[in-house]
Amino acid sequence: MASNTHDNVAPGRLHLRLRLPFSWDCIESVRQAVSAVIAASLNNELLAEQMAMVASELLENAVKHGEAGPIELCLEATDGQLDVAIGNAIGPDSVSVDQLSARIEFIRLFPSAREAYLAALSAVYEQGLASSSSTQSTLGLARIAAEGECLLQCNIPRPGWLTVSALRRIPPQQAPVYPVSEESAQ
Amino acid sequence: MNLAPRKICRGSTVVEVGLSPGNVVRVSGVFRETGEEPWLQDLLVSIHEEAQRIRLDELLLDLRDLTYANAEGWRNLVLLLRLLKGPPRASYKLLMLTNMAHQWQRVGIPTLSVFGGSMLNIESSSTSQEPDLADAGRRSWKA
Repeated sequence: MASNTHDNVAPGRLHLRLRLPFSWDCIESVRQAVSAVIAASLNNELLAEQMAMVASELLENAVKHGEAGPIELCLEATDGQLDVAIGNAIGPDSVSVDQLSARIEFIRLFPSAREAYLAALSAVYEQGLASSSSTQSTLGLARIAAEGECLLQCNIPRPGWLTVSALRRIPPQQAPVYPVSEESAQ
Repeated sequence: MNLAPRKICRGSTVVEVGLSPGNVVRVSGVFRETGEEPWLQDLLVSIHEEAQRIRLDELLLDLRDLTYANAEGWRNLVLLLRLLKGPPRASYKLLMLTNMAHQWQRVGIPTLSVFGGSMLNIESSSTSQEPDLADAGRRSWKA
């Protein structure tokens, strides 16, 4: 029978939850940590780098647009899918949720994430030095979709709390690596 | 004429301007800025204006030791290409030296060709070690 170092996590699954400070300075450390965890558990350096970028961009958005307070990062691999979710506090009258939803919808309008990313870069190019913060935020999300090959979702699981998730399929050859007992190996 | 040599360190980013043979700008470290204080944008604009003033034929932007850049970094690169293509069209061409060992460059850099067109050339390696920056430029534009 397969064993696992964590009793509450089923074999073959990755589950990591971190509570982070509301700080720009911690983002690079988190990016490197996410990369290391995925590389070690899923044995895939490319996927690790992609999802580290995704976590990093989502964290940046949380710090830029969220309310001051703890930020939660959840990294989960289940059933061939990898999910990076960032949760942060939002104000009662926050307009950032509507803006975020609109940006995600904008990305989904395109036939492919790459085309959405090109459109976001084109907007920067067209606006030149006067490019707006809205354009910049869309660029980060489009990058997640295109470079990270992720599907973006956002929801409000409880009042005053926003969660943004980036999901992607794990390529079949990169099934999660987990401890196997001698008995199951036979 | 060469770019005036200078070195700028901001956070985890280092920008060295005017490296030998005089037309090299090297960006290294990690670029992660919010965009609220667009120091790299301002620096790239000043380098562009200087390159125009001294009539550079070619500007080498060495990104090989830039291990990661956030979306704001991409915005800065696209803005430089916008300056390059004008109007007015820049007097120089841009050679971007990249490192395919960095995932963010391998995936993202080719996209920049869409915006740089004939004014941009990209040379890729899989390490940060190249013997001669000037030679890299000559090889590239001859091709």
